[in-house]
Amino acid sequence: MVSSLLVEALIDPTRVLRAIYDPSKEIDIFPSTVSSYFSKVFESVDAFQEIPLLDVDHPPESHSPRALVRFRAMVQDTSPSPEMYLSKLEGNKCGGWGIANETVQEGVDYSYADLQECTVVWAVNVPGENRWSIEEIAGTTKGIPEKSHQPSQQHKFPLPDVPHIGVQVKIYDHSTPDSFKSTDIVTFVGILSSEPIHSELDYSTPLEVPTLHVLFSKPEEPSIQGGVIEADSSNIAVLREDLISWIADESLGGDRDAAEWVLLASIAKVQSRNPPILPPSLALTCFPSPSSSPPPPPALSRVMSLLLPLSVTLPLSLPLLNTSTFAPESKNEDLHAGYLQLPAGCIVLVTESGVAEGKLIEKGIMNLKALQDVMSSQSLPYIFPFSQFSFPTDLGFVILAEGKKSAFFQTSITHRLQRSKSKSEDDLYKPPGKIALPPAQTLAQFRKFLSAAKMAKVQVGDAASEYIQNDFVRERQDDKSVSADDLILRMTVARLLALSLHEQEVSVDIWERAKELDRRRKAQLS
Amino acid sequence: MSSPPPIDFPSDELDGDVDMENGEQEQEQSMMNAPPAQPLFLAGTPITPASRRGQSTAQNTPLGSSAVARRALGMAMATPKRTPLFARDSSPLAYPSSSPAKTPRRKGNNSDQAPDSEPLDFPSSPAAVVTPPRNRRGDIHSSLALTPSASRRVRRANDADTDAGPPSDGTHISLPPSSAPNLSAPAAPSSDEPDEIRAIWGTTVNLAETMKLFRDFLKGFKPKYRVAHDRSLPLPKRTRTFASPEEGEVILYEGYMRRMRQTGDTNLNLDMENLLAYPPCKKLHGQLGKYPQEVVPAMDQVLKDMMLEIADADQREGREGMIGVQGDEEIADIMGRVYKVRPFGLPAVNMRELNPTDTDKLVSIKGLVIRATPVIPDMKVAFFRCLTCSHTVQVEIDRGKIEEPARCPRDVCASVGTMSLVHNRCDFADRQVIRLQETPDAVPDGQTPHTVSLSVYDELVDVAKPGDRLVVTGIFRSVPVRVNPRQRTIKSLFKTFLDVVHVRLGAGGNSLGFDKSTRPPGGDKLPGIGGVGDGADDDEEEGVAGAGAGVRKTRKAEMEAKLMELSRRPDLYELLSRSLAPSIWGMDDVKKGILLQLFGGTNKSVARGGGGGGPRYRGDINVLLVGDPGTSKSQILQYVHKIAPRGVYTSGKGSSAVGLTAYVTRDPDSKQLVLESGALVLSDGGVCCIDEFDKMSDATRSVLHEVMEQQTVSIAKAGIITTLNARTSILAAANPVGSKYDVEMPITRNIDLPPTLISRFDLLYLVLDQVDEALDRRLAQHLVGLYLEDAPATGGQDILPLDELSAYIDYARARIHPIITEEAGSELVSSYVDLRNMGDDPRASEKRITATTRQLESMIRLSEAHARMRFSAFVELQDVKEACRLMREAIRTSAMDPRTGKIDMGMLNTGTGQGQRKMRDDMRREVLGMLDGSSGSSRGVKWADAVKQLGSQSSVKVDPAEFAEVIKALENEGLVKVVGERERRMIRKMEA
Repeated sequence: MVSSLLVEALIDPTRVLRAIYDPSKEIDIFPSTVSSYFSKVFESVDAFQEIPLLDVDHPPESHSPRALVRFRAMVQDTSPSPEMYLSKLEGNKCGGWGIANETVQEGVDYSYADLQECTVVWAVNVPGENRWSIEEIAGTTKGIPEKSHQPSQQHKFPLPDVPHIGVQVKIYDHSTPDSFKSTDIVTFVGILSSEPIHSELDYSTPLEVPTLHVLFSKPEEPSIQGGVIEADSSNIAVLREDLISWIADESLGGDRDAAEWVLLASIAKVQSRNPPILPPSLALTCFPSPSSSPPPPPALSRVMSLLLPLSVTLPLSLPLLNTSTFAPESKNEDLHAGYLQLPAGCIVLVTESGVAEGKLIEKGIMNLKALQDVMSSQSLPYIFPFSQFSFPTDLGFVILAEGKKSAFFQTSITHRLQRSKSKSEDDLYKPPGKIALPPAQTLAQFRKFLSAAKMAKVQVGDAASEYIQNDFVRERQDDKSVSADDLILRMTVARLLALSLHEQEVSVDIWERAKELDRRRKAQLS
Repeated sequence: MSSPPPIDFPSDELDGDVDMENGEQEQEQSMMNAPPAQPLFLAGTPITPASRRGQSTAQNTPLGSSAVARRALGMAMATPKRTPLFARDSSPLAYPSSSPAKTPRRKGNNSDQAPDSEPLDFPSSPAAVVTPPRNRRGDIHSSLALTPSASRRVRRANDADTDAGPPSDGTHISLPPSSAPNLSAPAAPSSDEPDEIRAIWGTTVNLAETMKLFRDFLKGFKPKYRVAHDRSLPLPKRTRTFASPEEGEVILYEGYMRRMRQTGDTNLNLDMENLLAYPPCKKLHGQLGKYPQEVVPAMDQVLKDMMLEIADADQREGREGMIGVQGDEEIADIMGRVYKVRPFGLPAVNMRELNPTDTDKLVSIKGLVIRATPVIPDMKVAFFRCLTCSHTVQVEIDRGKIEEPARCPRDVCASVGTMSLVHNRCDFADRQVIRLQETPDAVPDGQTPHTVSLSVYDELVDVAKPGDRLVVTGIFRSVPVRVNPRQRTIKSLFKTFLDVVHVRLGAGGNSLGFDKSTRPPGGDKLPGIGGVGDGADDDEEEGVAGAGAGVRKTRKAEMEAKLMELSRRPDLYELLSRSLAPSIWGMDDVKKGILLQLFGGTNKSVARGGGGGGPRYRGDINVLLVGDPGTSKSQILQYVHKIAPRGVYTSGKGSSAVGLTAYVTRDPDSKQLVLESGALVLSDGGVCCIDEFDKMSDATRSVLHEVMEQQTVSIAKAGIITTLNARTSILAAANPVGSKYDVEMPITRNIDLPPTLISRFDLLYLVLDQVDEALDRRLAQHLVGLYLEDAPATGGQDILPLDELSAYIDYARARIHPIITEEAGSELVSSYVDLRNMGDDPRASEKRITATTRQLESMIRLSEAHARMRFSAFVELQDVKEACRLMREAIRTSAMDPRTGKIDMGMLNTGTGQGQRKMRDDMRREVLGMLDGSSGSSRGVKWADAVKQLGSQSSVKVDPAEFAEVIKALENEGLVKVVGERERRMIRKMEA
């Protein structure tokens, strides 16, 4: 039975929709009926995987009209006003989900009581999501890009010049209390069609955009990617060492401390906003500029994309700073995405090497400020006419700076890169092909390791807590310049260190290790 | 199709009262004391609005023969026969067959409306759909397209086909007999007279009754009702007390109407709360909310009748300005006008809450104007002339478009495609589309703001400008989206907008509105007369408050009660300051200072004393925080920005002078130059938070000089020269010059800001990082607790949530304007004298300046703010004491001369303290002595050597900057000369 329902729903969702429509029932509850019906049909993982994908490899054009698709997406814009639709068509037929696109003659009987609202949002495929992660989550093999998709609303994707899918999403079910927020990651399952873009401004020839009429949706649940890691402490220590060595050798000229900092920065996340316990930002200084031009991306960028599910490289340059926007801005009531409108958990690798001498105009200054704001307060202002709205972000930052400190940003951690003599400068910029990949199984272990560390929680024992307090008071007696900020940073590092060791508690030992790591870093700086 | 001779039919007949009355008719009417509006009810005008075409028109036309005759008839009879021809409820047909059963008009509301008015016993006689006279109001009739009648239209037209009943049996109701009491016609039909009953289609609303009710209301409402009503609310809000019992007994709206006559105003603002307050009219409140497009025109009609009635009565009484011919002219004027009732005072809802069931109802929302189109001439009636026979036809706008007649309607002509539009005979109305965006406080967390379209018409056009916050009352519309503008087919999608009937600037609510005293003295240009009606003329704000059914506690009222209770807490001051930025540890006095800044002093203007336009004394308190990095200054600023009225946050580093003030730009829509406000202008009446104040460019800073004392910004750019108001409090944070504050140096050395600017801050706080073991331990404990647990708690402190704090401040700023008592006044004086006397040092020959009048002014402002915080109408002793304490604390930290340990305001005001001045004198003497000593060498003394030499002689460190100042002074006096650059500078003595 279930399988026939499944097949029906896969082949012609519209018909199923019409079939389950019961005009005698309250129209208000129909949308939630639809949502529960379809989520039941596709409850099992296998059934869910059956639903065709909508992604960059399977653009809207590759699907037939009104096909059932699933779309793992980031909500980009929630500002369109809700739309009203006729939920009951002539002859008590089901309305909504784009069914009513058949036109109605003016003056035909309709009642306001039949009007229902649907939420309209704009969603794009998850920016910065790395291919291995896409494949793992979507559970399918790589498709063949049939034809290059030309997104009509390029300005609504945070990363310009990257192929992407942007879809207008219409959500009919309002029974779920949480509304979607900007940068939320959601998997929408619905009927794909093409409709004029929803906007209040009437154009004589409205632009048609891909539109997904949502049947049901699944919010992104934080889960350890790639399954649970086997909990063997000695194994973990070895794995951790291997991982650090690999990062150091392949992307950081053999600097293991730098690799460890990158590791810690990669597993940091916003722990609390009030009081603010935010991920530390990391600057790797004395990172040489590439000798070739145009500057190739650093090998670290590739290494991160192999290890982390979400990572983005932001190659700063004057033209980029002066012309692009980092913070989303609403222009003509259309929210244009900015570089930093990224989903939570994304690690941003900022390279400063591309910045040459020149004039930074006001826009550039605002962009730098936006970037700094996100780094230090994890909130990104969206610019609306006459008002600004701050949205919470949860992004990690690794900055590669040529000088002794970052030219533009204040970071919580600055580490000076200590390249081993055997490695040349170009080694830091070697093309992806030259990066020695560990065996596939090891790579998968690395990913699991990082993902599990990021998910885990850590406590502090009473003994350690007492120890830390005394330590701080003592240090401050010795050195007046030690401030509360230093304590905060050190505690953050200790916590991350415990996470990276898959420990559940910050012990005195870990505290001392964290201090030692920090001390080594500071010693190199002076 | 009707083809009446053009002459007989003045094209504007449908316009009713606007153009209808020519002189003769007016004369006639006033003589007869006839209600003026009746010509409106003439049917059979040649205007056949597109919507009404079809079969129905045929039935109209028989009546179209002699308007004049029928008019006469109408006057003679109390209930003249006429066809109601109304645009809204468009079917002019009567439905003899219609049963008492109501045809649901809006399925959604049926249930709610039932209790609203008693079930009407529908007569079996034709219940013709009657709406009051057409009074071309954009907001009511608007371009809105499909009213629910759209669906009925078709069906009923069919009915009508079978149904021979001419439409003319509709009896007139819009001439409620009571409208002319002095008329001999029989009065007041009661509802049991079937002939007189007219109901809004599908509802239980009896229009005649509605009109009568409103008439009674206008004639009977007295402020005392409102006061009683306000008191009857479960949580009474501040009510007015009348100076004399008579004050409560005035017939409020008659007064308003007289004023309207005198000022020529045609809009009456009607606070719907007053309808609730007037017992007989409670029902009307619900009707108005649910069926505005029927009830409002009825009210307009009543208003006009009443205007005439009052004018007439006044003329007979021989009131001033109404005697004889003058009175006749007035009455004629009134007849020629369109009167509009503009209801307001519904509780404002969030625009997200508007949903399909609100369609065609009156709703109130608030928001921020982000865009306004230029004025759009909206064609209301198109005038067509047949090119063949010159027959003219008028077509009304229907659903936003004009149906061009395909052929000449005259049977004899009937040429196809000869009708051409005559532009200058068409009727236009002003229309403007405004985009209203949710205000930041109304947007749910993590959401982007939504926007709605508003259509404003006539007088309301250009009232609101981008950037304004509004509370609007209007009719919510849902209109189907056309697939293609050239097709008649529509999609099953609808777009929504509001037809605005009332606009009020400056939305109150949870976030703080702007300070009323910062708006122009005459108030903003808003049409209409009449306010809340508790007799007070300052009618701001009141109206928004709980218009809920009167029984239900409204959120606002609840909040107010909570605030009042809060204000009585003994530890209020501590609680509020603790609640300000609770995540920041310590800094109690800083928080208190900022708290008082948020409350603000009262603005004082000499204008009141005589001679308008005198100087205005700012009530805004400016606060500067200077301190070591990492002392949470920015966090405090961010926090304040969140709760502050019109709070704007900007960083000195990122903002140019332009960003802070205003700039001229070309509007992308209109291609015209427009002035865009920057942070300072935008925060007019609010708080502008400026971080990294010291990193600001000189140009920007110079602007601040003007802002902080004159509270204006002058712009001269691209040919636009103007002065904008920037009455804003400034909360600024600055870092010390060497990033670490040097306690050995005076504050002016530590911050790179001109003393002139520093002295404009009322409070200046030094936020320093000090080492103290006990303190450190507590801090460490606090931090370890926070940072190492996975889900840190705020720590069970008793603090106010942000929105409550914000509401508290808002309430105080809006309602409390404390006055300084005698006692407080003398305390201020003595405190000031004390503060000044602190500079008296019997041992010093020179007097230090410890306080200037600026400090006195600050003290006054702070005391006022403190009284405001207590919700006290008077500034009392305790307020002044606290203000002085805060001042002293702030001065102690900031104006202390590190060398002498004494307070010296001179340091802040001029940049040099008394101690410093003394030291400079010493140094000057030494330098001159040194130069004299080395007079042998004509090359003078090397700069560096001089500094070194002085240093070796002196017991205190020689500050190179001080040294430079001294040399500069000497140079100016012509005593020495400096040659060379930088390191090689030489100081030479000038030969006399």
